[in-house]
Amino acid sequence: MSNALMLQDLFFFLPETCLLVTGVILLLLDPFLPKEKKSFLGGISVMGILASALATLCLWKENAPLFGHLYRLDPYALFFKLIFLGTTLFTFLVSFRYLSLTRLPQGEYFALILFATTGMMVMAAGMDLLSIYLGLEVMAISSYALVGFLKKERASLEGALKYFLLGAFNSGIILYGIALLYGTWGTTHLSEILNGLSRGEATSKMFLVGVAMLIAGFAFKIAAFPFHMWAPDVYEGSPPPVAGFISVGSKAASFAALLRLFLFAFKPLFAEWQGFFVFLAMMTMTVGNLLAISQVDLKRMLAYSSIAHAGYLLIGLAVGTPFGISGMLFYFVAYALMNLGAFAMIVLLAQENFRAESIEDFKGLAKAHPVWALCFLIFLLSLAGIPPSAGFIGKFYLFAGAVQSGLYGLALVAVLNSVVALSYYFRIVRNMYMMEERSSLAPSRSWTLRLSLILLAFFTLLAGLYPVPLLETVRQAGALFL
Amino acid sequence: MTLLPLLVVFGLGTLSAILTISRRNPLHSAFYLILTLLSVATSFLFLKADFLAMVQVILYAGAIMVLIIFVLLLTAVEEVKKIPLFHRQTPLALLISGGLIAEIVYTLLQRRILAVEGPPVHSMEALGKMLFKEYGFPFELASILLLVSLVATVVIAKKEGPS
Repeated sequence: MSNALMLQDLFFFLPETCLLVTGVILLLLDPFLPKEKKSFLGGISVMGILASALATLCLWKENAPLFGHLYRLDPYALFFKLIFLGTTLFTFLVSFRYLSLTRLPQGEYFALILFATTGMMVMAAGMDLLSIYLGLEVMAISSYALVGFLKKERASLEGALKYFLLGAFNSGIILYGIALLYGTWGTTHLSEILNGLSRGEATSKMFLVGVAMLIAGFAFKIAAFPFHMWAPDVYEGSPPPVAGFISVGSKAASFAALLRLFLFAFKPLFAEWQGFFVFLAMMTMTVGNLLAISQVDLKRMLAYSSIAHAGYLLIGLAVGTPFGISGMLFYFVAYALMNLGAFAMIVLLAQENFRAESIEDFKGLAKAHPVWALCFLIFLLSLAGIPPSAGFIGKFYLFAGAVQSGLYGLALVAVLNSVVALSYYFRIVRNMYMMEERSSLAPSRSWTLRLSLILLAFFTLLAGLYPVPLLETVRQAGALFL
Repeated sequence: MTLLPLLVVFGLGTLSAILTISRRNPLHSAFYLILTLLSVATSFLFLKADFLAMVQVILYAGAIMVLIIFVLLLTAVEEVKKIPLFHRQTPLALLISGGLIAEIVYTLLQRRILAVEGPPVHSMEALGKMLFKEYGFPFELASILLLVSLVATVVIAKKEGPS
């Protein structure tokens, strides 16, 4: 355990280092750049992301403990790192247009997103409760500020304040849980907790309370029932690219840590948690879908839909079999593609005095701009889980995993929920294809935004039509839990 | 160890504690409170509890006092000076604090305090080794966390420039 900080470990930490260094460069450069050259910062951030992705790909087959076992480089962590990097890349490509539209300060914006991504990576790769907690906090604090970036708007400040206050309490609860676990086992290290549990050492009440607190804390982060109330207000208030980033990145990172905790460290007790996660999954998807039906604000609707998707993803945790876990990891990719795409659609149509945040604003889009309507249609089909889209394959694997494990009730509730979800996704489709154009819609001409929408739609279709390579990757990443 | 330095520290602590509650200017009170906390930290050192002493200095004299002084700077100190220092609840306060003192003296006389056995532990040294060796990674992460909080605060607090 000694000599935790070795030079060679830093090499394996390169993906995170790239992001951190880029973030610091942005902050240092920002004050010295003249106003008209600020777009330069966006280019640097994209290069940082690409460098980090390159480093991640170079380390692809590695499987090694880092920093005295407090951190781990394994296919699972690397898979999640790529999801985060992809999410951040598309968030940036979409943000360029949004930032020039709203004239927000660019340096801090990009730097905070990069730091948040680093936090997410640490959460996915942390092998110690301490590392996971610090990663979570880095991610959370950056997100609070990002939500409140539109300082002239009350909704943004309200969202940021709610997110901050609830998030601060939530951090306290997680920390308390960690302290109780430390009190039980005398260690915060996941492998040592696993060893203790597999030796069959009696689990004290203190341990159970600590685990309950961890569940509550992470349930808040993934916006699971009954800790989901913050999501609609936060997504509604934040800039659309940030809402997409938080809904995908923060959720995936928290799930990554949750999986490592419950399917790796607490695995011996899995049978005892299973019933609880089944209940949590059912409630989360049902509540999310039912509340989404009556929404007229697109961002609020997507917030409730993301709550429902957290419910679907929880199936993977409730099932706990390789099949279910593969489905869950696959669904992360699908969810990232389609959700980022949906939020990017808002940015595409937004103008100086037209926010395109109501589902009414998409009326008649198909007639005027068929390409963009088609993109949105693909994202919505995928969100609803209709073939041939990535969302369908992911849902198929998740539900099949539930059936395979004999959780028929859960599978039934999930299928029924998918039917309910159709109703609100297809309200947008109806608005786009069957309604007359209400006002003149003018999609943005920003090429990065257009490119990212086309790419997101393309990948959503590709993963649905030819999922084999992705399924293979997902299987390798999930091998940790066998 | 002679008793004299110990008595000086205790005396200083008590004196500054009294000054803390009897000053009219809340800012002066805050500064006397720092002195009190530092004396407590010093008495921890005399008891060979070096970790507690450091925590006392960093957390109380450092973080919490900075917070208190920031709040004071945001309030109207001049107005606060006009509020009477003593009020009708003095007898109740005397009763409670008298009870507390009695309880402490009673416990001390009963010698019920658990004595720490064994050789003195150099907890600071052990802690430092833990922090920089085994837990070097979380320690460095914490520095990133601080940087992020700093940037986030500036973003939230910054005035919108002319656009």
